[in-house]
Amino acid sequence: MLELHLHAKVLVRPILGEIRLSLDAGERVCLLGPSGIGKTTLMNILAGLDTEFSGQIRFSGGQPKIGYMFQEPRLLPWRTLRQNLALVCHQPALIDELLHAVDLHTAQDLYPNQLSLGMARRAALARCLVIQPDLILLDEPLVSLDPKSAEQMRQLILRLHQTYPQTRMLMVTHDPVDAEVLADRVLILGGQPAQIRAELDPQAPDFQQQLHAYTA
Amino acid sequence: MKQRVFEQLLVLLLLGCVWQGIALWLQDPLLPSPWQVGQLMQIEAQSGALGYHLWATLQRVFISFTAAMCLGVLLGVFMGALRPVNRVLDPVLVLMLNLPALVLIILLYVWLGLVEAAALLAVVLNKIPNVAVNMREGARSLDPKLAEMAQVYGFSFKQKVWDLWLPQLFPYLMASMRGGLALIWKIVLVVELLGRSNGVGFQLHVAFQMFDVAMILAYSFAFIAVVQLIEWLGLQPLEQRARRWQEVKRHA
Repeated sequence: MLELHLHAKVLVRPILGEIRLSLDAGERVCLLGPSGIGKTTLMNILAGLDTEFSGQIRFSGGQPKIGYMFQEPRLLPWRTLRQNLALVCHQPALIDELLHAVDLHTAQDLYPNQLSLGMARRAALARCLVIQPDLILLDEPLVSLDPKSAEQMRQLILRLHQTYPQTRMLMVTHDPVDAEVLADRVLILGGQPAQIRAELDPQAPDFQQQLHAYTA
Repeated sequence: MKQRVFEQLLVLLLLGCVWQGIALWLQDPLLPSPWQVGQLMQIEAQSGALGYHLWATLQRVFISFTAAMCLGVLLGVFMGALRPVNRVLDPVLVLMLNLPALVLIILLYVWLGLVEAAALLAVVLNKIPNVAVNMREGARSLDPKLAEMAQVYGFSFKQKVWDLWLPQLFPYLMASMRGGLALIWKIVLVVELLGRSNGVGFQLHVAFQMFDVAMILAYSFAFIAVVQLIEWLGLQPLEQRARRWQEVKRHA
């Protein structure tokens, strides 16, 4: 069990209010909310990048290993794809496995600026899984991809989650379709400071109507 | 690349011809022709004097270049990365930048005596501020997004240095090295002229006292050639290797 209990996060003005979030092994949770609400801030807090908040993060297994897929791929442009993965993982076999999984094994010696955005995203996804994380944070993994690449990416995330079923996944999105396809639970963030306004089950028959009620 | 070298050589050859023409026309010992300078260079090389003095200067350039680069890079990166350090050291840096090289050389010779240590220290202290200013800009331009990435993925210090910082600082480092080499060998000549008994600067001093223009030109051109060789064989290949990732064609 990985738990976050946040009291407040203030940056000039209060951004995040009282938030409780817990993730069981293998759970896929989607954070939905308008832009600027503080979704990325919440991710940064979980990732340990933002330590100026009041609250605590608890993880039963000590220090959780976290793979973070940022909105921009943030690969090192002066290292090849494979070198980028090798920087965070010392098992060549595992790197091979993930390069195959994201279908980039033929591109492993290319530099990031030779890749399309979709490929770079897949590379970033591979990097975040190659460390065998307890939790992966995906910040808008499908944003600004063309419909075909977005659908491929959606299927890829699902497939990879089946391959590594113990991995917890927290994904930020503003697209209800992503939430429905990818998540076990959908949390709606809203208000100022932002709080979790509702928790929805994407498998529920009236999911879209419920969602509409909150996002409209 | 080959085309460019050819063009450069052509320009130099043309300049040489103009010079030869003027020298032939004036017939003045104060303007020797390139032919005479070349002959003198050959004589000096055969006697061993040219090699000896070039080597002495080259050693000084190498030692002070290395020291100034190391210290300047450290200073500049610290100043760029840490605001309090910058606030304290910035006035010192401005002072050092504006201090004429000659003043520093004279003062160090007066205080430490006409010794090798004073000569080298003078060169190093003259160069450090330029390197530091350059590297400070570099450190300020480090990408915070990549730094976050490195933090999340737990990069070791060594990885941060080699894989994160150095590639970002490389263009600034290269600019410092280029400018550094040119500036340092000029200062080394002054230092040698004022207080050493070997090196190209010392030879220039001797030649100056005898108004031996051919000798002055012979030693100057010999050293320019050495610096140009360092640029071609050392710096340019290094730069090409490090910039490989930028050369590759971007994905359509």
